[in-house]
Amino acid sequence: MIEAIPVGSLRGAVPRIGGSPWLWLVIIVGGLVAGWVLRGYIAPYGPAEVHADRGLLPIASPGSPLGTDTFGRDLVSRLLAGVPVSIIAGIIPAAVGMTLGMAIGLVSGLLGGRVDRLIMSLMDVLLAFPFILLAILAIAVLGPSLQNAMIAVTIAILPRNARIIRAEVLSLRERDYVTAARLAGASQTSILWQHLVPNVLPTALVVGSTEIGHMIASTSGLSFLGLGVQPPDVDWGTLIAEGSRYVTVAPHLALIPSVVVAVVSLMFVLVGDDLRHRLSRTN
Amino acid sequence: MRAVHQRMGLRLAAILAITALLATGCTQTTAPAPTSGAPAAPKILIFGTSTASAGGCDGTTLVQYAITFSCPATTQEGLVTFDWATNSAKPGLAISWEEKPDSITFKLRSGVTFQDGTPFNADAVVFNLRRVFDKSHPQNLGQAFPYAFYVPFKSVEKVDEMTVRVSITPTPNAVWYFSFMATLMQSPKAVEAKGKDYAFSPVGTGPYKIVSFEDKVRVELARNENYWNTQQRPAPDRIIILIKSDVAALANDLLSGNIDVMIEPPVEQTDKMKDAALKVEFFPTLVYNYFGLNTTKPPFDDVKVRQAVNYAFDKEALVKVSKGAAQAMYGAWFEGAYAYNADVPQYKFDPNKARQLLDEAGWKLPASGTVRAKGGQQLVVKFFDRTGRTGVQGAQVPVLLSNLQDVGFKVESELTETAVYLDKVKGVGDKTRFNIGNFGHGSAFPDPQIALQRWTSENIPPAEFNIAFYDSVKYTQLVVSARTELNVDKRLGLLKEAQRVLRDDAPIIWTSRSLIGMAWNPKKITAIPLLPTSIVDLWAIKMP
Amino acid sequence: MSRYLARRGLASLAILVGVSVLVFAAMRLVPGDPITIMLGTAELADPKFVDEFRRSYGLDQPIPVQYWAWLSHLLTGDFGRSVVSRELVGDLLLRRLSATLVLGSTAAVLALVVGILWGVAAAYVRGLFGGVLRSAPLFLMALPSFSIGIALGFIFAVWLRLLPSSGMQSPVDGGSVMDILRHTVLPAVTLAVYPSAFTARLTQASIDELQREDFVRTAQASGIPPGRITLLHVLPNALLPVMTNGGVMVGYMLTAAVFVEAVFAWPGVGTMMVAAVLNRDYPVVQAGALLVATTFVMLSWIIDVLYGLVDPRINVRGRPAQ
Repeated sequence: MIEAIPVGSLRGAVPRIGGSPWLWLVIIVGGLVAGWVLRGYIAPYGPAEVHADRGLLPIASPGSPLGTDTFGRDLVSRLLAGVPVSIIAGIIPAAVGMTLGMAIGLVSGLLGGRVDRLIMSLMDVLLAFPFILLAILAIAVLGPSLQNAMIAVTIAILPRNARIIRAEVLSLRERDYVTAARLAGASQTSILWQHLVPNVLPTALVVGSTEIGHMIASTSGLSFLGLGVQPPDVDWGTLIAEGSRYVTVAPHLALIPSVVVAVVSLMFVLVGDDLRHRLSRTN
Repeated sequence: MRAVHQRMGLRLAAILAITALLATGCTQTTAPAPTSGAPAAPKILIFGTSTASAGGCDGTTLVQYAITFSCPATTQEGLVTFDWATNSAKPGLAISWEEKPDSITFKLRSGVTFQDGTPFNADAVVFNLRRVFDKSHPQNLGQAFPYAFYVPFKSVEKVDEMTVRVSITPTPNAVWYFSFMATLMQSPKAVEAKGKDYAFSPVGTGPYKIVSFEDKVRVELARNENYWNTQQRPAPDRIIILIKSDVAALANDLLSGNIDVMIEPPVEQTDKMKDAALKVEFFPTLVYNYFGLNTTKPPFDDVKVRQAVNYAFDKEALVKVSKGAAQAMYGAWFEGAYAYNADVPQYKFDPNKARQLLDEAGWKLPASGTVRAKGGQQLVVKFFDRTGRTGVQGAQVPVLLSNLQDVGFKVESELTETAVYLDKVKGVGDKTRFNIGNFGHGSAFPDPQIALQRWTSENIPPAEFNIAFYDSVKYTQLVVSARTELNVDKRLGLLKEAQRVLRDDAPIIWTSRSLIGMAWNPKKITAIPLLPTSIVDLWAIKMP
Repeated sequence: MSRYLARRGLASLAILVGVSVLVFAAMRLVPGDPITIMLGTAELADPKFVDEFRRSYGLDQPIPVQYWAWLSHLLTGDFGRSVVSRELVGDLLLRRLSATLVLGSTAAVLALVVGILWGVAAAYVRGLFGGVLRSAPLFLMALPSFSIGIALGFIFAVWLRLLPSSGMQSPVDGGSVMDILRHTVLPAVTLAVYPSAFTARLTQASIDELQREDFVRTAQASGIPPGRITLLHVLPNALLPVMTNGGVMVGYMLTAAVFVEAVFAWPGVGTMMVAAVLNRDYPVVQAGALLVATTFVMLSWIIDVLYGLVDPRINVRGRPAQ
């Protein structure tokens, strides 16, 4: 479930939802993190605690404002327990995927020629490789766990990042100041560090932060298929997967975590977009 | 020889547990043959299941059987059928047989034809048995007959048109094996004509024939109008087996009237189903669920810790969340069943007792914190399972994790796909991989021999599935002696003593006996019971 | 042009060979093999028996030998038989592919039509409703597709009972066009949510930008009615980026379909692949991966060529002119 949005596509379309998206991000994600820190006070029941006599409580039940699953496990507590896991599952793959993508894109774009063609063909192979197959294979080798689900989505996002950075490098290479530096006898390394890296960094930052949201959704997708986080740990994808079994009896069990995933990833998308606006204005 | 014998026993158990046995005559209720009159609307039964057998519908080549409506068992028949009510063989395509230590002579039923019109006779039986057992037979598919080697078959010869003699290696109850899937009779003509694709449209003598077969999606069966048994026939005119891997989807189908019955309804939906005027019933199986404790590695090398977790596990909670699909199980054998030792004190849920035992074992709670420790080492255990568990086996995991945390354990889970699970269970090269693992197993007989045999020293992996690596000379002696003990009372004593030893040593947390749920629309179906093998008892289906 | 096509074809072939080698090697390097799984779940564990079974499937051969055998059969159109179901992989693939195509093409049409209309509306409608039209896609894009499917299934199948909850046809006497269509609605809508939201945003953003371009302003100044400007000048240009992103969308459809298939028990290629990988059903995985990769490569190729034809600023080598 790599939901790839090409960077250029969000042009100026981001609605102003009132206030800076950063503020919203801080409020929402900060609120969730605070909730996680204070979970002992907010939710009296532990996330893995089974209470057979409290099974399938509805919303607004005493002690469990969002209800419980068949095992009597409290949804608030489980949602909060999933906060660090799910957010880390977004940030780390996006960061690692971008760093590696940048390295590959820079090398490929700078060296050009055969190396470029070889690297880009490899990336094309990866791109043509069905994501879900890639993820399952990675997980089959490494075993299903949060960490390995993160590795899988990182690999899956890599070719796209590399392509974006390479395209950027190709256009930068033709700029006057780079040509001038080259004519002045600057080495490839110094061109790389002085001209290319600083100039692709904004793009990398923007794409990377936009991807955080998609990474959260993707990793939870793997958990939904049972390939991600394993019990007793929880993430939001696991909650959606478990909740989907109760959809006729207690639809909120699947829908509430879905909305949480959507809102959090939306916040990261908005922030990424805002970042791009700011950077493009300063350039 | 003894080892061989025991192996055969195990195999027999395995086969019986997973084989759809034809239940002809086993049950009381069968629809009467239609009397002449106005033709009634055809009775269609739409059966939803999440599990499917793999590899077509030819009983002889099937590898994986599923808990379901069995396609081979409805379309093909064997020489005999196994009767669960009396634990004996009953006539099938053979009307009688004569057993000798090294041969069985079958007298065949006359007037039977395969669904394509090929007559059923001694030639057909010879063809079938040679196809499966004789590697030189032109229609033998080599390794494609997975269960063939269990059958004590040596050779077969035609005595006359309606009599065959099968030579066997001397085996107790040898005739039972001729009810197995591996010996279901196929039309020789069809086998020859269809070659490798035969499995997808097999032609047997059974009460139903295949209309269409779409692997893991849909199977449609229609009544065989030329079925030899004109006295009684199963109720449905058409059977449609719908396979969807998602039970929630099937539950929706049942609730919205798309299907008439589903097997293993999701427990969280059963209340809703009852509210919707659907009938939900649970049928006991001979399947039990348990957690194996790795007795070779701390902390479970200490019997006190093993007993502690036995007290810590809340079986009643499991029963409650399973909503009818589980019965609590307090020992190695089903309560009240033959040779069950009722005098053994049971591990009833008692977390305080568990805490006390852990304290005694030296695992103490630190002044602050919830995880016990001993000598600077935290009480961390590795829980091992495969992904995608459903039903009781899935439900017992959250209960265990919660209960263990409650008494001061820290649990780390390692889950693997089925693909690597079996290798890991057997601890190939590394028996220290897990501390506690989730398992389940089916017994075949209302006799504890096979179930208890699993925990003997000789069955420690990789040989078999004693996944607790429980290695007790005393226990092994008791169970092995019971295997050959012909004196009934003496044998009962051995088996009961073995249960006591097992209880005290506690290498296993017995959690529950599985019941398989069936949910159906009472407007369409009056009764649809399951055999203990968890396969629909075709002849006992009643439709209004 | 023909030289370009030939070169492009060769490159595509290289990618496909790359994918097939990768899948082949990966499948055999990951732990677990189909025979152990198949026999293991039936509690048949005798090592001798397992070996014999493995030999009968040719799985005891070295990997390069197995690959060569597979490739040479493939060239004659023989995909082999599934290890698990023993069915001909070609037949299986054909059946699954047609289900996937029914779902995918319906969703694609839906996504394009709804997305473009929505985008245009969002660009021109003002006020609160316009604001909703503009922000809703972002939220929809962030919703996991399986959540959408679960919600739609609950509302329309279980609660309102308007549409079937799962499967591709009715259990009894199904398979008519109407029947399949009814079953396609919910999964196709679910699958189309993300691409249509995406298309809407793309369309709207392009229109916004084009409105500021000189030729539109000139047209407005010379008194051409706004509707005419939109239809003749703005829209055709605004749809270009929608087309270029078609490849990304196809990629999305191929992967997201797995989740939609899982939720609606749709018998498509995605769930077949997941099951095949989990069962290590080598022939099915190999053929399936090749199929998906081929679809991907071909579609991105078609889109490139189309784009080159539509927009002369882009030459067909696929490199944007500076």
